[in-house]
Amino acid sequence: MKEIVANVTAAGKVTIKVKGIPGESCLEDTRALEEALGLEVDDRELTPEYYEAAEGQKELA
Amino acid sequence: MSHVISSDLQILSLDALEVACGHLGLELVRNQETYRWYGEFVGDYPLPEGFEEDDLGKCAHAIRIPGDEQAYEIGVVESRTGEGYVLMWDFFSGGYGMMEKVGGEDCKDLNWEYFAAISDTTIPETWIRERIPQEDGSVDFKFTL
Repeated sequence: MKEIVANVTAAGKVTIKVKGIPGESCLEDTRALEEALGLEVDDRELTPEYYEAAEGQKELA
Repeated sequence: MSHVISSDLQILSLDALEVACGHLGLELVRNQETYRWYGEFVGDYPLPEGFEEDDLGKCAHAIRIPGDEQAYEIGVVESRTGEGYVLMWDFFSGGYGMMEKVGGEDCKDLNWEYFAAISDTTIPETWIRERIPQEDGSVDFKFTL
């Protein structure tokens, strides 16, 4: 199950967390949302799950 | 102005802001270049970054309570520190009704409705949507597929 959780504080500060989407595809699921909110790429923190698909591809190669 | 405040939320879409206003019983008036406020800066509250006294009361667009000629209005002002707009308004005496509409000094209800409007256009309809209030006063917008 894919999950996106965006926490919005009363003042409007937004933090987005993505779960259940291994690899780089998670970035595509939130790209439009992030751009529409004006969130900077530098603010993004990548979790270990992001690197799972990349490692799998290396094994197949 | 007795008390002035601006929101942290970066307003980039007037269309989304208009939708958000509609959900709260407010009206976005595009190209209204002034917003109703006390009319005089009394210096008891710091101005938002990049703004000076002469900037007060001026805006690119405005948010108002339809049919209410007493309530203060919210100025949708071009940001001085980034892209898009910031919201500026006089919340003295609750803005004579405006504070109740937007959910407090920080406009939390307006912020949440704006985010919801943005997510409606950027997260596909196939995703299940939930709003979950948090103990710290924030709201989690959860999307699952």
